[in-house]
Amino acid sequence: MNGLDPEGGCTGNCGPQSGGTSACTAPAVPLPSAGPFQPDGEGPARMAADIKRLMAAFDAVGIASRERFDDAPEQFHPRHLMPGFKSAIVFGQKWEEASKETAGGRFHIIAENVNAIDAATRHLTARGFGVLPVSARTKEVSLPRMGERAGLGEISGVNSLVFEEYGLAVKLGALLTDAPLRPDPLATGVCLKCWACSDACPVAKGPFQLERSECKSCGKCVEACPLTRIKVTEGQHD
Amino acid sequence: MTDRSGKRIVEIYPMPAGMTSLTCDLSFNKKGGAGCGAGSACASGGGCGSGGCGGAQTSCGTADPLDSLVGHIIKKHGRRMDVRVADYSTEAGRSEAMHGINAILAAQKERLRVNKRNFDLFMGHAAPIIAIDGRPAFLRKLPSGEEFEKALGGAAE
Repeated sequence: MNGLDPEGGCTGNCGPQSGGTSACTAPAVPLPSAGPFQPDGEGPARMAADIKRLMAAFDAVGIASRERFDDAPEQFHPRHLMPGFKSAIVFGQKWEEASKETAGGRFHIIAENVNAIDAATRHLTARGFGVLPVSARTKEVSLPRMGERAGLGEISGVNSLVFEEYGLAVKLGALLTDAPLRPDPLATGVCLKCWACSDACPVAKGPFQLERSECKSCGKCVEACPLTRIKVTEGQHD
Repeated sequence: MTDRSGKRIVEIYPMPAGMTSLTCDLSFNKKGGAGCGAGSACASGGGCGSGGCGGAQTSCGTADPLDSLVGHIIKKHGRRMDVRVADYSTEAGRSEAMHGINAILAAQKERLRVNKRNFDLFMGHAAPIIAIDGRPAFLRKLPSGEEFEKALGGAAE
């Protein structure tokens, strides 16, 4: 999915002439002032903080620098999506328990999340940086691996991302940007390494023995993780 | 929300082509409302060409869930219901889809408005969207006929 044009960022003033629609009015999330970027060490930290504030609708946001992907498998390296990327912004939204979730509630969460992605994208493009959204459904990169490198959690026994607060019950997304943002520290000691996830998986042959294409979306790994705090419904994380 | 003739309105916003596992390319039609009626033919799973009802089946070997749903609605509710399936294949169709989604967002008092820039992003998170009488009833899934009927009852309350 390449829905956002890195060169055509909305400034919040767009009318029909600038490619927007009449529905595109002022930014819903107030943006920090668009001052010149300062590549002096303070700039990346400030920009990272601004991005996190703009994306506060998500339950977790982490940032990885390009260097953290040096050991990534060649076929999954984010540079294939954005050759000049310098940072990956990875964000997660925890699942709601299906029994407590309504279509309206879910719609609200999605609208707020898209609003947040929109705001972060505008913030970066207003400063001349490119931004590329990475679809949660992409097969070209591994979002869990990106999340691990962004300090959000650790890789579980079924090759998903385990969060200290939410276990495996998190949906992931990411933005790639050529903005140099200060990376977050890597997370350690999150996964209990009990391998309840891979034991519960009907397909995995053992810890880390599961290909993404083999996943049946049954949710058994998510429910089995002792860090997951919700009751999971089959197919919920499709 | 109903239309001027008192019909209930079902809006269906499928995942845009190229963004999903849904392999059928769907086009916009007010199925049922204007007497197209071809949804039921589509539901048979393969007989629908692009000329008749707005072109559902292009690559599906089996019944497309969307066509099944539309077929179900038309068969069960006929002209009492106005079924609108978004078409993103033209600028006008995309614009109309954005307008419809923005009306739903506004009715839900959401801050977000979709536009050319964030439309794919939003749809990537939410589609397929089924709205009944202007309110979201299903996101990221196409319901079975039974699920739809249950939601329809809930929406009427």
